[in-house]
This record gives sequence, structure tokens and C-alpha cells, in this order.
Amino acid sequence: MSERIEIDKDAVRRDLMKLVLTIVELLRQLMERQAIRRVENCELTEEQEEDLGTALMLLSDAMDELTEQFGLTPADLNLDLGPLGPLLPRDR
Amino acid sequence: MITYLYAVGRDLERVPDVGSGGVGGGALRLVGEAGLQAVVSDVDREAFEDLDAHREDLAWLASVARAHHGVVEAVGRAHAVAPLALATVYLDDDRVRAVLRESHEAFTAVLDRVDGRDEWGVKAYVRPGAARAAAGERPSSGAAYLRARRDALRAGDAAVADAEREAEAVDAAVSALAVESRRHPPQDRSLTGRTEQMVLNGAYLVDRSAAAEVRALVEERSRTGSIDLELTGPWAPYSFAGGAA
Amino acid sequence: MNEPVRWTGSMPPTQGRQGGQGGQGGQAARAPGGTDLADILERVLDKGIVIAGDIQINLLDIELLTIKLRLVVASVDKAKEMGIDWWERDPTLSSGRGELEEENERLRERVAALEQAQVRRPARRRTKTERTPEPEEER
Repeated sequence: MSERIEIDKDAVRRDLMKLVLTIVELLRQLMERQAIRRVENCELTEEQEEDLGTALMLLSDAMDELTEQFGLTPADLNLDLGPLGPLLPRDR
Repeated sequence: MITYLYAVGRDLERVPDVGSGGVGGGALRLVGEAGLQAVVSDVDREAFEDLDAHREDLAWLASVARAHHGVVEAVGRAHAVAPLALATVYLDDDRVRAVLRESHEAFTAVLDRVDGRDEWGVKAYVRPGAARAAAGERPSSGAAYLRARRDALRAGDAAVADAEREAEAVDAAVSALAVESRRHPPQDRSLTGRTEQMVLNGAYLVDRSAAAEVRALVEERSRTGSIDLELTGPWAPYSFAGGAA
Repeated sequence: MNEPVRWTGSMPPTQGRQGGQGGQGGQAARAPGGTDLADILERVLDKGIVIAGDIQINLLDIELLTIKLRLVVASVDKAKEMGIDWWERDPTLSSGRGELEEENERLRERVAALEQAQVRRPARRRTKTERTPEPEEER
């Protein structure tokens, strides 16, 4: 019984972070692509483009730091959906 | 018990030497008719009656596929061989004899076509890192970051397109040395175990005398080109045993 | 013919196959027992193959969420028949179906007749005419 209550807190944190970061990374990549598309369609002012770019760059940095902090690699944040392919592009 | 059919040959005098036997360890037998010999073994009828249950069972598929392949390879070592598809089963040996009789021409045509030839496989992959040009220093502004990301995404697409073009050229060159060629769909990464995308999965029926040439060509292209190539073989002519050419 | 030769890149060809590489944990099943199983399956089945495993999201090795995906033995040119007919099809040469088709139709009838003779067993084998589409729920 007691064994089951004994919980490795680090492992919980790590697994949970992996799940959270996967979702965040998916959203980040979607946002980034959307931003690029908007820029290409000239839908943004220069100021908006700069702000968006800076925000995405910082987010990317934050993701790198977080993944490293939890001992994860970018590949860990990917899920293989079999016939549907990977959740994220393999090389981002 | 029902009869599992592995391969058909002609002038087979004895059962191929396969240590582990056939599917399920069954003893191999020859069933001869009209100058052709079928390599068969008895298999459990139950197992093959409900194949649906095994369809998603990779371990089962793997063991049957390996046994099947082992028998076909053993026959092919010394004889022209017409491999049959996995899990080809008949009610009994009489049925096998009837098929040999009635499809004699088709089998003979295949055996003529593959005699003295082997199948070789050539796979091509995007070379790792081809897409990642100049990640370089940190962009100086938000706009510069977006531009860099856009270029990186485009470079990735372009790298795949380039690799596909190069793979076409390799396919054409190998096909020129082959008697026949065929393209299998590129395999998924989960099958290849490689992170790079596969852009060519070709099969080539090659005269044994031309095998060295094929190997030299693939080696040469791999050295000078910008895609990674993988040569497999010799295989029994699985991809070229179709009844209708 | 021994084990197929496999070499990559500009390495010299060597006999024997590469050792199996470990798959990534929790991801699609990589074929166990050797590198060339995929190649073998591809050839003996005469179909393109896609292998999907079960995706598990684990928390403390507790299975929280499992998305079951099927092992699909797929024909690219007949995507709609994905995974349903490789074993039901006619015993024919390794690629392409030929004149044995008709032959097998008769065989199948005999099998069906035999199955009906066994009272306990409802005949559930699908035939070409009565084939129903594969259940879609897991795609």
C-alpha cells in the first residue's frame, strides 16, 4: 500500500511538463506560421510585425529553456500519430 | 490442418533446407504437378480461419512473415522461384495440385521472367541537415526573426523537393540497368526508424551479372549526390511475381 | 542468397543486417526483431504498409490516455480497402491478382459450405459481394 502512495515528485513534474509543453509547442508553431502568413499577405503594420516577431522569438527562447530545464529534447514534445503523421513537424 | 503455399518452382528435387521449418514450425513438403513444384506445409486451420484477429498483431504477422520469407529465400538460393503472397492457404494438397495445373502458364511465365535475376531495393532519404541551413546568430529584431523562420520553412520544403528530384534520377539510372522496376510507396518514419523523410522506395529486377553494376551505381550516386541511399538485396523476386506483367 | 545485404551511404556493402535500433518510447511500434521486417512485410504482403502503435501519454508510468491506432496494412492504390483485404484476397502470386481469382471464389464457397456444416459456427467470412466497409471509428 505505502509503495503506491510514495510518489516521485520530480517524475510527476517532468511528465506533466512534457504534456503541457507539447500542447504549448503546438500552439506556438501554429501561431508562428499564422504570423508568417499574415506578413506575407501584408496584413500587418510594421509595428505589429515587429511586436509579433519579438513575442514569438521570446516564446521560442522560453520553450528552449523550459525543455532543457526538464531534461527534454524537442523530439520529446512530439507525438507520433501513426497514419496521421507526427503532431509537430519533425524538424522545426 | 490446411495447406499453406509458400512458393512455386520447377525442377525442385527436394524440400528446401530451412532449419526452423515453415509457418508454425510445420514440416515442409513438395507438391508436384505438371512440371511445377509447390513448397507447402500444414498449418493449423484455426489460426488462418480467423485472420482478422491477427491483422493488427504485429508479433504474429512478424513470425509468419519471417517463416514465409525464410522458405522463399531458401528455395530461391538455388532455383528460380515464384513467391506467393503471405497467408496463401488451400484446403488440401489436391487443391494446390489443381492450381498448379490450371495456372501453369502464369507460373511458368513468372519463373521465366525471374530466372537468373534477383530483386534489389533502393531507398533514398533526404540527407540530414539539408533543410537546416544557417540557423546562425540570433535575429536582431522581431521582423528579422519572422523572416528567418519563413526562410527556414521554405528551405525545408525546397530540400525535400530537391531530394525528390534527385531520387527520380537515381530511380531512372537504376531502372536502366534493371530488367523491370517498381516503386513501393515510401515507408513511414516509424518503420524506417530514421528521422529523415524517405523519398524513394524502389524495387528492381536485376540480372545477376548486372548486380555489381547496380551496387557501384548506387554507391557512386550516394557519394556524389546529396541524398542518402540504401541498397537492400538480393531479394527473392517478390515485387515481380505478378501474374500479369 | 544469404541474408539480404544492406548498406547505407558510402559504407562498403557487408553481409548480414544491421542490428535493430531501439524505437522511441511510447511511440509507434517499430517492428521488433530486426531492421528489415518492414521490408519483408512490404514484399510478402505486396502492399505498402503503415504501422501505427498505441500512443500512450504516461504520468508516473500510469497510463492516462491511450489512443489506439491500428496496424494498417495498406494498399496505396486502393486506399479505400485499407487494411481489409490483404488476407481475404485470392491466393495469387505475390503481386497482382490474376486468373486465380475465380479459383478462390470457388474455394471460398467451399469454405463457407464447410462452415455452415459445422453447426456451432456462424459463417462470418465476408465475400467480395457482401463486404462491408471497415469500421471507421478508429481512423
